[in-house]
Amino acid sequence: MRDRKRTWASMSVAACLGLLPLPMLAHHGTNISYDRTTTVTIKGVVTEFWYRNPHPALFINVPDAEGKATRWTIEIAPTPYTLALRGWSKRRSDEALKPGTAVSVKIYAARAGTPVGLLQGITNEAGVAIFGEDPGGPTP
Amino acid sequence: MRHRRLCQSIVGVASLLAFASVTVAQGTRPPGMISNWGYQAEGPEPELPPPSPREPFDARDFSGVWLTDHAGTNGFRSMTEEKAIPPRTARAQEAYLGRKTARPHDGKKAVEPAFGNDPIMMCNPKGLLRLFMYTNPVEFIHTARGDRMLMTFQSQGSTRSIWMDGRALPVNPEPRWNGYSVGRWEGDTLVVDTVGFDDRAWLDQYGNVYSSDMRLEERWRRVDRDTLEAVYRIDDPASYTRPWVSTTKVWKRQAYELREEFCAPMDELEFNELVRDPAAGVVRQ
Repeated sequence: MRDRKRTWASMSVAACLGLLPLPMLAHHGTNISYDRTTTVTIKGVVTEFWYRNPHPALFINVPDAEGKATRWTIEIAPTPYTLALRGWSKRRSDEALKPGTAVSVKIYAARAGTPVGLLQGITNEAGVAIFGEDPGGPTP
Repeated sequence: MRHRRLCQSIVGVASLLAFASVTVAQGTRPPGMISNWGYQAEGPEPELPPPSPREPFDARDFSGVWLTDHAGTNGFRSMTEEKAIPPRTARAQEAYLGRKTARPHDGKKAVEPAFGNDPIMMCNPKGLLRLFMYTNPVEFIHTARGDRMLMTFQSQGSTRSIWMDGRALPVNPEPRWNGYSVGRWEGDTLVVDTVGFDDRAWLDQYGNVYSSDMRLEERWRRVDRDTLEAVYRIDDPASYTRPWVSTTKVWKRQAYELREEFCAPMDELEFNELVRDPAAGVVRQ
């Protein structure tokens, strides 16, 4: 019974919030700033992470072949609200992305050529998908 | 004899404890109440009893948190589908075209948000009707005296009052972001009339417009325990050549507690400067 209730509760929230896989949407409409035809993977080390409105953001240093680092900005389409509904509380997210964490990040890169991207997926060195397999989704 | 009394005492205490525990359980988490503070703290998953549309409910009690998924408008988050927007007046068309947004829509080209002018990008109030046009929960609260209903939107922490005490709509009201609302029951339909809008707010994310003289009528009905249906109608001759009536919006009850979601300029402006604008090639030194 308890499981049934839980399933219903989760389904209700998930269905109403559209948490099933959906195209990435960002309430700022920044989708058009990114090249959404190609996914790029970058590897680097977390310098900062914002779990806040209007959208969370991740900042990572990405070294080039000579070891010179470029600071990349990664926009995260879900909001704290929708991340929390997926079980990614602030504490859990902060812990998973604390400064110094090595990550591999899949993004749509900015069409302007600036080191900015829209998040498609993050994995850490252990191969764990942070925020799950699909960090995209609807925004309020 | 002593043994019997002891047994009676034990049974009595046990009954009392059982009653107390039920009372406590009901008092701390009645059906629909949640257990992890609106997903804002650690705790078990929220619970909502299984759906049972035939379960008795009070059709005039909207208490609780509700969410709409905007089904029925073909993905267009507004009153209706795009093609059902009534013809705009010249004034409205000019205002509409001046609103630059990232959403390509009805003769307007999309612009990157860095070059747009959507007022909410600086934390200005969304205002009614735009607060209705998101997948963001709202809580209905009935005051104990029954003279007012409150709608608190999670988005921006905005609250509107619906006066239920029979008062008239104000004459020549000053503009308000959420307007001034009075409500009444027609059978089990809540009818809400609103006037006095601040026309700087956008109707939706596409930059649709209304004037400060718009009249809004909402008709809300609780059709079962977990479902509200609403239709919005705007009469705004300064903006549209005929009334604009929404599709039927379906709101579902949630096992959820509103989280705080103010738009804090210190967050919004930093996001714009370090994320939104650089994504469009605009980098401030």
